[in-house]
Amino acid sequence: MKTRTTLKQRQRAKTRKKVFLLLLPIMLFAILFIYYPFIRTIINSFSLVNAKGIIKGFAGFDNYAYTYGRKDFLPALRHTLTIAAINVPITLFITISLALLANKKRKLSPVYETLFTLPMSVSMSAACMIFKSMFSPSVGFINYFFGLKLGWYESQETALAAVLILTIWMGIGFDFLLMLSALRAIPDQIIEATRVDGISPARRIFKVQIPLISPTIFYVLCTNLVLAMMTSAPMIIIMGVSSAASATNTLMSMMYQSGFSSSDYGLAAVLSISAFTLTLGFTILSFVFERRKVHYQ
Amino acid sequence: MASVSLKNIKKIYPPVAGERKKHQASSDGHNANLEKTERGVVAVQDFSIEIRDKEFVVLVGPSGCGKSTTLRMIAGLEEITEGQLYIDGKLVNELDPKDRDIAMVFQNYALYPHMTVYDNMAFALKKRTSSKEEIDKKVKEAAVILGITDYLDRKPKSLSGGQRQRVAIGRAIVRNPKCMLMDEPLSNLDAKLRNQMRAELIRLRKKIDTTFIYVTHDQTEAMTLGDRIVVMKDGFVQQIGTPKEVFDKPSNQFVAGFIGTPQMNFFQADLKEEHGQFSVDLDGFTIPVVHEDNSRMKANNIASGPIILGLRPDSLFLVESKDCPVANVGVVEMMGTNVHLHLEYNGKDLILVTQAKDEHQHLKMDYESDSEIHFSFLPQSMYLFDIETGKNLAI
Repeated sequence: MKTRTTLKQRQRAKTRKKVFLLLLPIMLFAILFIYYPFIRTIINSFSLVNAKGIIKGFAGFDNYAYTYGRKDFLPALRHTLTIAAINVPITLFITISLALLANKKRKLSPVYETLFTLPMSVSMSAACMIFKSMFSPSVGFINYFFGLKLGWYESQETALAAVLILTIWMGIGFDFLLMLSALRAIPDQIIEATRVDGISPARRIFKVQIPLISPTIFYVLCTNLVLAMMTSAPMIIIMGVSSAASATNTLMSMMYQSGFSSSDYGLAAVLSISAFTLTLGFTILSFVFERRKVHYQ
Repeated sequence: MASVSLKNIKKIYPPVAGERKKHQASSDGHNANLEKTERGVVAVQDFSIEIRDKEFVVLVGPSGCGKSTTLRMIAGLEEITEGQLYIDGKLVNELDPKDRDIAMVFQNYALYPHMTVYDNMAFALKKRTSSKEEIDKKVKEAAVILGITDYLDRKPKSLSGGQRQRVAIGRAIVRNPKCMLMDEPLSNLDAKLRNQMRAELIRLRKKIDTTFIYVTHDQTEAMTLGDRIVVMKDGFVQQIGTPKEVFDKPSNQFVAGFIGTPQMNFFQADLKEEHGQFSVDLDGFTIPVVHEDNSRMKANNIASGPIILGLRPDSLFLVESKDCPVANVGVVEMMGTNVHLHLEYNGKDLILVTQAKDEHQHLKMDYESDSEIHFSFLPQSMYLFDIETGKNLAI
């Protein structure tokens, strides 16, 4: 008995060692590029940091007071929330609809699927450049195609709309793919059962298919929420860094400006922490929602 | 509650790969023996049957024989290439499944996993009937019949295989359909549960008065459940008859081999005729054909020559006499009541079923491997088949 236990213990110790060794590379990576910067940002937000990024002393809540007191903070927060609030439902609606349309396998299915997932293959900065020219008031394709005469960057609403169109378009490809594979994973016989039972297509979609892909919908919801709140590239690339582009500034683009252009590290740190807290809050909220609505098989 | 009639139903899968082919492959397995025409692979050939009201018909056959495809055509899940399908006297070829008033139980239950047992059963009713009380009454009635009243609030995930199957049946019977279609409903259950559910299906059938069409590859299920059995192979109907007819008078060698366990033994033999009396020559042993078969064979104008002789394992018996065919004992399987002896006879395997105990209740288990034993059989237990077509010569 005794020898067996020790053997078991030895084996367990061996396994533990192996597990640790296997995890080591990614742990190093995570510590270096995720946990250290995260902790450093928290420290920065409570410190007096000079333009070179060196901590000069403890600042208490001064950075926070300063940031929240700025007149461009609230608009940035509002834009962040607006983008998330509009982006997430629209993306869900579009991707679920597209997936439902493409669900049935047809001869041309590979063509549709490729078309719908194409945005995935375009890099964010390239997409931003393309959309920048498409939104151009005078020579842009969008104004031309829809017969509009909009100066997209002139008003806050249209500028936000432009950003939203771009971010939604960017997200569709991958999310569509997730939805489609989730829909196709529903056993054929369940769909056939609805046909035999005489369930109408609308009831089938809302009462059977959507509940059955709810784990995927939940995943898309969470990741999109985070991504939407972290949106910064479109504002920076399309609107330009320095301009009076506060029309579309989000917490993230404001952070980028303060951190990389103005070297105001205290401000940047506070903005990061704020955005993080916000995202965390929404993620927790969506997990509460998950308990009630998401069905795992 | 309705008659179902199939007239020359045919299913051809077009040669172009697509969704339909995938369906065929998943439901019936791949079968290379199916006839290929210019229009594609023929999965079901000229299927005709008149199913009476409240009859229980079982389609049985090996995988790829077209039984599931036929059922799916009746359900409306699969298009009918040729022929007519009538339910209750009404042509339904072009009708959607929902308009055919049928219910179907699937092999993997196909329950809605996110709904409770109650909702699973009530789901299809919500559109059809208006009042909540009526739905509630129907669901509870079905639950009582199937003994699932205690699980109504549970989700399918927390149920056992047998319970899930009951829910699937419940979902079908609450709608009170004209015809119940069942596609291998028991094949996902383990052997013990399958036997239990089979018995329950027989009981259930008495309680719910409707027409049943049942697909299985298991000949025991077919024999025990069916009023009539349809044996299929490679898309062709081999025989339609009561379980007794199919067992006693198989129309051909395939049916004879498919129905009955252990499988019928087949021997190469010679048919001889002398003064109007047929006899079978099995490796030098001559056995006369019984009178009844003899006259039918004469009526069929059967000529003498090589034939296939079929003998069921339980119609063979061991004898002491040295004037009988001799075989070597191979594997001995003790089954409890019976013993299955796997013998080697003229380089071929054959199975002999004998009682495990003699008349004094003593176990007879002195079968030594490789030892020689002699066996015999009665003339009336012989089945004779054409060597080329496999047709039963005596029907």
